[in-house]
Amino acid sequence: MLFNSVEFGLFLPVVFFLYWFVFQARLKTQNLLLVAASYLFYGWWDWRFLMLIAFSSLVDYFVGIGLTTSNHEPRRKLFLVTSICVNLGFLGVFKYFNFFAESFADAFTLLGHPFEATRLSVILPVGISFYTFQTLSYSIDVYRRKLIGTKDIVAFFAFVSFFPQLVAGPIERATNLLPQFYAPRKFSYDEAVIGTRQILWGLVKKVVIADNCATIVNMVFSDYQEYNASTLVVSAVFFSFQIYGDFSGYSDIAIGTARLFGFRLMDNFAFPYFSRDMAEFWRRWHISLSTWFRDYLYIPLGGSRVGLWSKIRNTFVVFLVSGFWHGANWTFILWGALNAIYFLPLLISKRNRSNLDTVAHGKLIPSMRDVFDMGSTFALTLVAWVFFRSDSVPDAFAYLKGMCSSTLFDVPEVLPRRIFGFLVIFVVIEWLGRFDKFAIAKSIDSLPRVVRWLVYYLIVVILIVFGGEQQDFIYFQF
Amino acid sequence: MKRFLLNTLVFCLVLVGYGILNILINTYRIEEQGLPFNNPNILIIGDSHLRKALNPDVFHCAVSLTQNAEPLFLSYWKLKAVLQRTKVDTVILGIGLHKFGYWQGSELTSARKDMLYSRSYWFDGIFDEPKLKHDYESFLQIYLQRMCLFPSDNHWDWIGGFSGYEGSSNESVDVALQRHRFDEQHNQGCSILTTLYLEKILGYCLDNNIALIFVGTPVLTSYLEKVPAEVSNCYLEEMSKLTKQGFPVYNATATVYSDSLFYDGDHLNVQGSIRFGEEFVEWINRKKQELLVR
Repeated sequence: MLFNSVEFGLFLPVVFFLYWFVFQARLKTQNLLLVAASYLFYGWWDWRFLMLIAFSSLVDYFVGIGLTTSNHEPRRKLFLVTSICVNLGFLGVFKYFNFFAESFADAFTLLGHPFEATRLSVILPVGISFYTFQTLSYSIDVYRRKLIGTKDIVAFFAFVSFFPQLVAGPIERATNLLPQFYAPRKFSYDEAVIGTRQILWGLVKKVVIADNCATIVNMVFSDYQEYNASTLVVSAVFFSFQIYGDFSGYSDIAIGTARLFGFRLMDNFAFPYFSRDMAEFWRRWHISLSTWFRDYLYIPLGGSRVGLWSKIRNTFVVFLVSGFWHGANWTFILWGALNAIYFLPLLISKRNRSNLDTVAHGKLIPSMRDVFDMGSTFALTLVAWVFFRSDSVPDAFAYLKGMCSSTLFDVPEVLPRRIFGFLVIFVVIEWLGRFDKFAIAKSIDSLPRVVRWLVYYLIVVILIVFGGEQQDFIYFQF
Repeated sequence: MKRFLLNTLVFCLVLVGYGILNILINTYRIEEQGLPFNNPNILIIGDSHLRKALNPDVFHCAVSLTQNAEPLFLSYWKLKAVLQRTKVDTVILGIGLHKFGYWQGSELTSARKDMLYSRSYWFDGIFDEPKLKHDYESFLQIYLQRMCLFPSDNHWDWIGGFSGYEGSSNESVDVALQRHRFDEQHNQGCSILTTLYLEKILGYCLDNNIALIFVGTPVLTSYLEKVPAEVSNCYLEEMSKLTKQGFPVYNATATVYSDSLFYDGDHLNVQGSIRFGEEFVEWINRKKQELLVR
């Protein structure tokens, strides 16, 4: 079920009503309703994948209990390994098997021993990378004794399958989300208002920004040889906004929806395109995944409290794995490698934490230096996005080569003024609201109610009139 | 909670009320305004093939409603919408080979869905056909845009007209075949929906005492040769069935025109349309003579 679909528009009010009016009396039944609603939400794509999520939840539930009750270290390790094997095993079979099979076949062919790779005809379950990482974090945290394994199976199943963030995050930590299922939820008017506002803003990002950009991006990337350099640049810029609007829009809707049910999810984006260097960008982009890798991979590897070469190795490992997490394709691995290359100079020169505050703090207009820094960071990410979006590595290089040809200063062959207009307005609104959780979180609070409502109506009208052709959320494929 | 629900309810009620008011105004305007063209004797309906090939000016009082990428079910809805508002003597219906492609039933879920819904959002009975797949969300978005946001006089996107192509394009015949999904990969038989809607149009015209002429426009021989035999056979069978039943069928699909009269593999250019118009009028006159002799 897509957030920007009619089905979800009907599903949400029904679940909201049942949650607060019918099942409000008992916490357990309220959680049970959330599990049922989440399974319905997920099963809407393909009910067969429900078995997968149920099995994964069940394994981690028992692993959690085993890890808590046992003090025998080898046994505890065995429990942890079981959880890791089951979760990564699912990922391996459904997401990476064909990639490895084909890569091995290609490698052997290069070495002069060609063979036909065996391929699995399986569909990638929606959001598998998200919920497997979420459950993994639970097992690891219980193993590290940061958390006590829950005995409340309903709460645990609700934690794994919580529908607002099930298929595309934010990847929640058990330490943050699970305890929220134990405590009775109280309806808060302010939270509900801010949640609804965040849903609306998320829809604008997805439906108006991402879906409109997608039309141009799909057209140009599928036939990039036919376009001049300036068009390729325009399309790459559009993709940068498409992926931001798409993914951060999803996160906004997820966080807003969770607020309506009395839950607080972690932030996932913090205006990443206003970053002044790549380190800041990675503190602001897909925060739940970046911090996941920091806590469960980078720090266990030694983090940055090791020698120079180990530091470089750790950085590369994290970025390569992060790229691979996104998809079973060399393009994603190169995207990760490129980001590692961007990041390393800052880490080595210890400038990776030099921009911890928000850009142009207390000012409306940024300084020239800030503009240059933001522009150059955006340009670096733009080059990396070409790898992310291209179908293959040769395509990505050919696209970049095309971007650098002599036609760079020609008039773009595709110049949708309307979409440019949207992007300019969008960037201005995001800039004005960059100190808040999302762009319109507080900026309209001071307005009289009538004006506020007019803003909401305007947003609804914009969604109807300017909504692009409905597209799947990009991150569903991960 | 009460405050939130009340606010949400009021917000939604205002929105819905405003939308319903606009629907009422727009429906009234559609009903009351009549058609935005003079009452014609002859109505020309079809897709880009007939649109590019037949200039209504070759007749005394004709209107072309032809539009690019128009499926037959849309032609049927259009015909009904027109005939509920005016009377015509004759309908000239374009029917090309590609209309028998298996994919006709999924046109309203294809990339063209928004365009097709914007031409048909207020037509009666568009959801009545079980064989036709719909994208309800696209329909809803178009309907909300066109009917609910503001009162509008512009509800006539389904009215097309003759517009000739100058010169010729660089598009290869293979691309034209791909456009019609006649490349091997997509060839999956004939469209049942087309046959069904041919019969519906036929029945509707008979009921309303309207003469119906079927027209197939010329295509390049290299295009014709590559159309899958299964589709060609369906087309020819249908044309021959109609002829046997006594309906006038002007099938010029296989008529050889010089390449310079084509814009691409399946569309005539302006020069081609002049020749086609002359030949078609001549054919009609001949038919009239035959009828008089009988």
